[in-house]
Amino acid sequence: MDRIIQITNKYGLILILLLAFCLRVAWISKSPPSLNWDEASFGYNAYSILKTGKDEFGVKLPIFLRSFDDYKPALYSYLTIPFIYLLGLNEASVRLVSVFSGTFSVIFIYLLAKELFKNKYIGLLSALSIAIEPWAIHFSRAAFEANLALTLVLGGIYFLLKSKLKDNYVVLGTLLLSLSLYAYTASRILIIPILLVFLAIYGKNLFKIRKTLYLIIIFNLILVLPIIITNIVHPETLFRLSSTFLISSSTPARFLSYFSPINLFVRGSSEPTQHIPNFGMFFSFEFFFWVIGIYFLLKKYTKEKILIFLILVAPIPAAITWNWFYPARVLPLFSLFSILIGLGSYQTIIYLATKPKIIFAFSILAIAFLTLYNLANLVTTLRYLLPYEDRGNWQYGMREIVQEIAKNESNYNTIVFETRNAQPFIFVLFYSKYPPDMYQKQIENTAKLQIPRKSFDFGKYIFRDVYWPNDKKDQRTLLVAPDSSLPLDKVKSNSNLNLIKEVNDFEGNLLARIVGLR
Amino acid sequence: MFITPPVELQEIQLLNLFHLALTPLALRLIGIIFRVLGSLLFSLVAFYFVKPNKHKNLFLAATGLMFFLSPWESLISTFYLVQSILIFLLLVVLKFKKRILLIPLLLISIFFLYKTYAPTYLFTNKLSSSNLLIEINDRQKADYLIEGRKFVIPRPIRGVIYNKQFLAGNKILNQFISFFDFEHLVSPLDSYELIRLSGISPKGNLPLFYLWDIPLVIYGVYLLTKENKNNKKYVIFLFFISLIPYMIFEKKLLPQTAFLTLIPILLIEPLAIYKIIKLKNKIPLLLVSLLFALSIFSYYTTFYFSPQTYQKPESYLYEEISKWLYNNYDPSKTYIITNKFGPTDKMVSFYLQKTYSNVNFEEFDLSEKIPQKNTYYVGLEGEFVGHGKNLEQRTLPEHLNIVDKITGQEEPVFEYGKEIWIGLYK
Repeated sequence: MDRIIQITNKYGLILILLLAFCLRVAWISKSPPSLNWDEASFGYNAYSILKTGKDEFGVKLPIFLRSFDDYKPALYSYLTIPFIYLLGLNEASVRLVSVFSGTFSVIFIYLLAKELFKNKYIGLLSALSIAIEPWAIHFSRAAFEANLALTLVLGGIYFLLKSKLKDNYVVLGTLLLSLSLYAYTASRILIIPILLVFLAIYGKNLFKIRKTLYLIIIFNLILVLPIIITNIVHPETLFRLSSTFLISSSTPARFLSYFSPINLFVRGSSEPTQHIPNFGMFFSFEFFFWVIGIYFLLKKYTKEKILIFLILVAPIPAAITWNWFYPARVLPLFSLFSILIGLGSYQTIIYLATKPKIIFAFSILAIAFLTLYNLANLVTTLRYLLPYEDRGNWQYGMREIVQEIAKNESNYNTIVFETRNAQPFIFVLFYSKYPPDMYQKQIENTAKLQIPRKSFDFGKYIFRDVYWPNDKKDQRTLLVAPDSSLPLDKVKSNSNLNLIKEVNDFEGNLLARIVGLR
Repeated sequence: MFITPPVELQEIQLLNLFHLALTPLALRLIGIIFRVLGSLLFSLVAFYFVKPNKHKNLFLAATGLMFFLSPWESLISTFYLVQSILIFLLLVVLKFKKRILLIPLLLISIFFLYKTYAPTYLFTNKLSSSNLLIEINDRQKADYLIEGRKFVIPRPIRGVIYNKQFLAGNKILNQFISFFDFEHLVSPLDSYELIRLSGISPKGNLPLFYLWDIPLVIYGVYLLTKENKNNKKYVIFLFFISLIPYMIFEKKLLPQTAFLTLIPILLIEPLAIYKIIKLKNKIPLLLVSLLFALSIFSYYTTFYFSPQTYQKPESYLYEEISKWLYNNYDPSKTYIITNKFGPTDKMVSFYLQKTYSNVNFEEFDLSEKIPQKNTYYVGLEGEFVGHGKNLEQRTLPEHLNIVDKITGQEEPVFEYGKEIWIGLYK
């Protein structure tokens, strides 16, 4: 027993970090099965900035990426640049920022829990929880800017908590919180209540750093000034905020939904890219540790009330939007729940330790088995079931289609790509590594001038529906469309035909037919 | 004669089950009587659990009122008479401490639910070996196909993740946690309309608690565990026991299957209310009272004055058709009333407490078939002009006059229109 405690003390965090990193990085190119359009956009914009210093629309060193007219904060793309430089433009390089962010979150959760409860073991158990929990792994395996923001927010909270607003850690804390504004729109709403919580609890300590306080405020104002200026000069960059501040009679119920055990432990989210098949946000057995954690937080750790307040303000950015249960907006809340689960499991172990050795050993073995069973289930689900069941949600097939197009592209003057649901242009740009300088020039007089964007055509690519009776007369044209637009029997009967290629999914279902006309 | 909200088909089936013939008025009155008696008993039971030193009368009044105005209790008393009686009996058992009587009460609940719902509504069906096997096979198929038709997962791991017993255990655990579904409990319609997440049908589901009940119950649980009450183990035990019917049936029937949990939950809530009453700072009390008043007003105005917003569209139509027939009955005419959207015959005879020989219940399609003379047709728009889109632009058969219309809020049958038309063919 002593030996186990010794090893845990010495190597516990390193082992947990190693586990967290492995769970996040394993099969990163295969699962999720394809990049979704937001990931492709982050990746291509990073590539564009790397090659030209400008985003896809030719904006020099952008604060926001116009992307699909949703003006994403650009920090994720900037951090992706080194990975693209080293590994090239591919799925792994785009997702690695999120992998590392997710791993850093484990460190911050450890530090935060240890700082809150002054107990290393609660820190380790909390770190272990977030290292293996479904939500944390899932959001770290795809390019979610929310995951990057989570790391920055957790870092900010940790340093503010460590400083208790009376020493220079405040600088680090506020710096990280300010940086989170460059990562994710919801941070803009979240950091205000977070700062208010700290001011309400530790505000009186501020006089101890009154000499540096002005400098901290000025420093942070300078840091967020580019965002403010961009928002004023280009009000369209506020697009993502426009769907927030929707207060209605259902707002309180929406707020409550983020505490609803069925959402957290069983059902998860119906958002297409934010759920893992058959899993909630947390493992269902963690429900009991969560309840125990809440109980002890209220009963025993009355001085740690800042955690309660942080938990209460964390769902605000999500509660004032239209969506009902939208996990990406509440990752900080989930990470605080991981701390509660860590606390709950610690208290359970302490309680079990008071029981006879046989009961203690049996109980610990049962918990370990339950954890391993769930983890094995999760890992195999992530590796096999998710790419299979959720392939539609992740725009599976775009890579394969673009690769087929690329093989034949040079033989045709025009490529007509049917676009109904996905945004194929970004996948063409991404997977063909389309030269950004050329793309920027080609859209200079079309897409760049349109707000909102209406035309997605560039170079020889045209994005519209394919209508075979008309299009069959075209020459040196490559048509890319589903079976409904390019039915095989009709296509085959055409004498002008040069090529037929089919791209299928795992089950052999046709994703797209590629037809070349002489 | 008629008291809103309209009677539902399930109630009639229940009455049939027990061979009872009640008028809507009697049905509702019995429910209301049980609500009054239940709230009196509940305040006494809650008093026994909390034993306040001060504000005794205030406590009794507040807890009794809380029970009486509870949405779930109101839903049960008004819609599900048998559950209302069982809740009343449970309160009697608790008050007179004959705890052994909980067991027959539980058995009656399960029997009654089992008789009311088809076996397809049983959650336990999902745990059958064959159903578990189907699920595991589907999972295996996915794992096999994704790796190019190969099994690459090591055998020991396959043995664990494709294991029926573990899958069943996981399902039971999930069913238990699914009881704590705040959307289903406090805002089923909002959450369903926005995201279709709740997995429950949009109509026929009312909130079971007011929004503020949830934090109060959580606070009450905390107080119960903290304040070393003698009864704490008993209340917790009672809660788990009362979950048994819910654990046997599918989750979508939660209001009907988990009704016994209402008592332990409402026994916990007065602890929090009592604590708030005792606070020197009266702002929380004022806040809770204000929320209480607002949500009760909102709930009951919807409950009595907009039943269509939460009830299935056909319940309202049954009542309105019965009303129309009652007010316009002419023995010299023939009546054909549709049963396209449900058993109109059963519902009309319940509302009117009699049957007429010249009233027939059957589907009809006047766009295809020539109507009978001297006959009133009562049916959906689509039955008059043919079903499909843009019904208002279609023409009626000759010599058929629409004499009245009943306007519903939703189409009970797809592309048959929202309205009930009453047409006379001369």
